[in-house]
Amino acid sequence: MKRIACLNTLSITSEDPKASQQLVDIFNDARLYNKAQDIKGVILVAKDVVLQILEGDASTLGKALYKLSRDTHTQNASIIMNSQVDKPLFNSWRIKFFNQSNEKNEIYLKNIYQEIKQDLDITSDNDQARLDNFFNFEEAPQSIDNLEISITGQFAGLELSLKAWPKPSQFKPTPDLLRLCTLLSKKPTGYDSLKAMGLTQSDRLLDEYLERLKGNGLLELKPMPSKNDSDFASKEPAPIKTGTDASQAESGDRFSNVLRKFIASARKIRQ
Amino acid sequence: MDPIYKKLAIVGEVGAGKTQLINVISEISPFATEEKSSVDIGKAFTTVGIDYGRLTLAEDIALGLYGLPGQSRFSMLWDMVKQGLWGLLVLVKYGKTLNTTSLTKILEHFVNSKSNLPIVIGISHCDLAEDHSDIDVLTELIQHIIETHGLMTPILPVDPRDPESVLMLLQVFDSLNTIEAF
Repeated sequence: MKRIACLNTLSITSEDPKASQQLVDIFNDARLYNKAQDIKGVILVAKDVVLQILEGDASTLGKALYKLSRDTHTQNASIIMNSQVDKPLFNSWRIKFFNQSNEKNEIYLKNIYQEIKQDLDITSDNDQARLDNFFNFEEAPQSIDNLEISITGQFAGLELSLKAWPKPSQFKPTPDLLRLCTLLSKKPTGYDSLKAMGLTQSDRLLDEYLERLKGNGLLELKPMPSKNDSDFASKEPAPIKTGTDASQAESGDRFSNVLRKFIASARKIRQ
Repeated sequence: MDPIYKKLAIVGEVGAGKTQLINVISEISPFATEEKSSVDIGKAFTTVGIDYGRLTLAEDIALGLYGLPGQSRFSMLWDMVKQGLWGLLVLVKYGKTLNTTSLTKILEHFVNSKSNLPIVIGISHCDLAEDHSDIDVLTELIQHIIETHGLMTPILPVDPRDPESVLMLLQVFDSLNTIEAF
């Protein structure tokens, strides 16, 4: 089996409003073609650089390379790996995006790099610079491992927020999990506050969800800000709402209460 | 007490399942604007205007369901329901190819920096995918697009024919609307 890696630069830069559609076009083309040809691998996108790592039989990959070189969505194609491998690294085909908000994928990149680094053939500074968009690990993101964590309560004393919603395959969306993710996606919240809110049926379930979110790289963990921090004031309870705000909040509460009753009774009827 | 009426907009491309979803939870037959398709779009009838459904939750409390076509040429319909939305569900159809032009246009139209509109992206027709990884690939791409709009919203598989799937969606919107109370 062959494994190839190809670097490209997007024809339309990521600042251009048409950039998203350009990526969609690349995705649509590659997805259909690679599936039909039984090509496995990944397209990695960082800023304006695309790195494709593909596995399959030699003639199929040859055709795929020709297609890549003719693709008008990208330019400056450069083959940086062409090797024979015994064992596949991928069992499917994917596309992944890496930018500042996707630091969670660093482990994924490190694993790939470990597997391919000995076969990389970089012949120009430009290719090295493009590759550094993916495999430059010198500036490690702030990790929870750098923080002092008590062994008994790994989240105690930490402020938690959600980096991204879980993918459908990662979690079954339960009401508890939905509430937890919604809250953490809206505002960073201390672990103790989370427990006090009673979002989940039990503290144990809360820990379980948090551990799974963390395991999937979806959780941002920081030490709780001290009372002297300048942004602490913003985390004080919101002032009591008056007038229109208060009436809107009340109507929202009433609506939410009857909606929850409706959902519960609709489920009961269906059982 | 004043009556409460909230609005849920369901926007999506042809065949994404908007009419079906409203059919599943509306207590009235949707006021639909279906017309026979003049070209092959995979079904005989399609919505050319607004689908309207209603879910009465109490004597004076109701949720209005507005199914809107996803093409930007219908944006005047989007404007008609845009104000004071309780939630926006964008239905994206899983298929051989993905058209995100409409997703981008919908987000551009409904989202502005001042609004705190709860948004959910629902992927329909997931049963056509061969396995989970196909859905994950699509999710990854949609995730990228919504991030470019500065959004972090749930992306969930939705089966518009399944009442449980629709109830789950209502639950998500409820969470997104009420979490501020904590």
